[in-house]
Amino acid sequence: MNGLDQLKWTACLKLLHTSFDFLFLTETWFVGHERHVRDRRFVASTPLPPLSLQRSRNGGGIYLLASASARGRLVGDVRTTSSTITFHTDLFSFSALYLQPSMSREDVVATLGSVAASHVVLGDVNARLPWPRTQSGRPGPPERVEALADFSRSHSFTTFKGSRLDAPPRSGVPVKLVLRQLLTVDHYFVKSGSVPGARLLLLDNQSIGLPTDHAYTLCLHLTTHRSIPVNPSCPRDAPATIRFHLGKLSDENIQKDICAAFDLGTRSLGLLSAAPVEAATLERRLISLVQSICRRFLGEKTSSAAAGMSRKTVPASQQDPQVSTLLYKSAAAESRENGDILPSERGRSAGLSALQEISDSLAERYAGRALASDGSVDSVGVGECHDELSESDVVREIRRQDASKACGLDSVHIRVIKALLSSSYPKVLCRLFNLCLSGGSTPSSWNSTDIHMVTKDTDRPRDVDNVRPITLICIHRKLFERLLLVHFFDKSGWARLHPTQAGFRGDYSTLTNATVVHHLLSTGLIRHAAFIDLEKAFDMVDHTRLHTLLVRRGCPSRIRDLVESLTFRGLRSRVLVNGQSSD
Amino acid sequence: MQGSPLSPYLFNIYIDELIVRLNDSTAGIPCGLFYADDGVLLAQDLPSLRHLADLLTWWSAEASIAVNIKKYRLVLGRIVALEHATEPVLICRKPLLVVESYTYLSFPMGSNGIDFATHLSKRISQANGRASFLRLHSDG
Repeated sequence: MNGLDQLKWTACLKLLHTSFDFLFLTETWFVGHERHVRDRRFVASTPLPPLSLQRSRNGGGIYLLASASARGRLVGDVRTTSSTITFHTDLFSFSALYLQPSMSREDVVATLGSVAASHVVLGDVNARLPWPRTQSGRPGPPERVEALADFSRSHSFTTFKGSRLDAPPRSGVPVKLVLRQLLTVDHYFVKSGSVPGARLLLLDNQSIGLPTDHAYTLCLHLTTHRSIPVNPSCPRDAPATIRFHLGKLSDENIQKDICAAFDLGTRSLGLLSAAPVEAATLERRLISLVQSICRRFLGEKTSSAAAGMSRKTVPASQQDPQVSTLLYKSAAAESRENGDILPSERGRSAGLSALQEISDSLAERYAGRALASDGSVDSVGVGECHDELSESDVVREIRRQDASKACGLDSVHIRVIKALLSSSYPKVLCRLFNLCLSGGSTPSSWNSTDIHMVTKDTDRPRDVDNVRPITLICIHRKLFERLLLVHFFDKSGWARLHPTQAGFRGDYSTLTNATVVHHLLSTGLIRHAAFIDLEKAFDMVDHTRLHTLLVRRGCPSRIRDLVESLTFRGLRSRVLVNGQSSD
Repeated sequence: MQGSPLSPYLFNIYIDELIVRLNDSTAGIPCGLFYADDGVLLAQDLPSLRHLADLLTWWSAEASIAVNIKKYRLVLGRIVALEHATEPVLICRKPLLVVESYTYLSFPMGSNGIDFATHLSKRISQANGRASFLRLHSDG
């Protein structure tokens, strides 16, 4: 049977994970289709054939799967017809064909014509061609062979002359395309000569672990792909986050010892010496000094099992009433930010007048805004950008950090940093930050993150649908970004946002917007409100567009460089699931 | 990068262009309000709403930020609803649904603004829930 059963499906997904970027599966019989389309690696399939044709060679179709990193390289729509799938990357376009045995010659010609614009055409054409040596048996059927030959000639495609290879290419190789070979190697594939560096490989299905009755997988190996993978693979042996006994920090003597040890380390490592140093080097030395101090004075926690869990996973132990009460209290403390909603709810009479007041003051702000909104915001921030951060800025920022947050990849907890406030630590950190500011770049180690999965709904089993990713970032990076925001964004004209935006801004809350909408609706100033939701994946932001926007706003180039360095350069993330890490 | 304090701010900057465009037309009254990704288009009549919807559609294609279809809602009076039914307002080729109320940033919003009765009763039941939770566990 040619059905795509669970065994084959799993094997294909595994291949996507280890070796391939894109995978075409042809002559799939749509077995388990509903399940497959829900998979995150599923990109497209040809439409389901009528029921009478399902599970037969004439009703076969194509699947296109893509690995998580390759999916980001898809450009534009993926086009599907009943027998083709075409997709584009930034450099090339690819098509897959499945020519059912029952297809008429006219249909074959039309189908081939529809993919002629693609750089690469891979196909299961249900015909034996006379030329590639790998095929056995007599060529035929003649009509189809002729149509394929015509197609190759008129659109200057060359057919596959592959070499056998027993092992899959190593992972990290840019773009690979695969076609499952069916029965014997009686299917063929065409590609144009316009793709430089392409190499065709025949992979032995047994050696790559694909459980199928067919012998080979066709693999197109492109070596000249210029786009950089978004997530280059991360070494599997990346060190796990170290946990220390932070409870000891409440001991004043230990605090003093830690500070003294840090000052000593600073001197011996020359962290504050006049000699020039790179930000990345300083960061590395600083982190390792803090880590070694933690190890010496606090001691490592041995149980690494609980290490991957952020505090939000604690509800699993909800049976313990004390834990729940604590949790409730911390939740209540966290929800303080919503506290300002309360005044509006005391009652219609009192609340409304308060609302009215806010609304009116806001309305004034909008009226005043009309002038400032027309891009006349520039040059204000330029002067300030020559400012350096001072030690007191750093100290202030450290003080306002939430000490209950989990620590990031560097194993340095904010509580340790708070304990180090009375040492030379803020001075060193300030030096590091100013190095970043003046150099316009940040240590690359800041761009590594850990993604932990925490349970969404504790009543349901902790399965894949019920977890939410939480990203932990380096503490220094967090501090730096905050300082950047406070000192170089909030104050400068180029970063000024339209007052109708309230998200993540100091003086605004959800109440601000809700009040405005309420005011306008209740007074009849507007009668229509359409509520919408933008896709808020920051990863979706077009980097070049953001760059252009920043330039247009008059953002100083140094800050632009920093933004780029922090957000788009060599990002590495690893996901920690059940103590195992991946990239 | 999720978890970084800078990203939401950059997101705000990224979408600010849209917001400036939306609010360009009128004097005094805001036409597009956003709380991060949560937005509302405000209009006096259907033609202006259509105009805002078009602006949003253009921007969405230009900036490659998708607008979430599921949460489109249109809150309006009954008469206007009939008018809307003949020719729906489209955003990114998807029609807006007409609803009586919509929970915007946790406020139940009807055609006359925030529905305080509903909002209050919801808050009160939440408060009761928390109170009884504490009572249950106060003696440990």
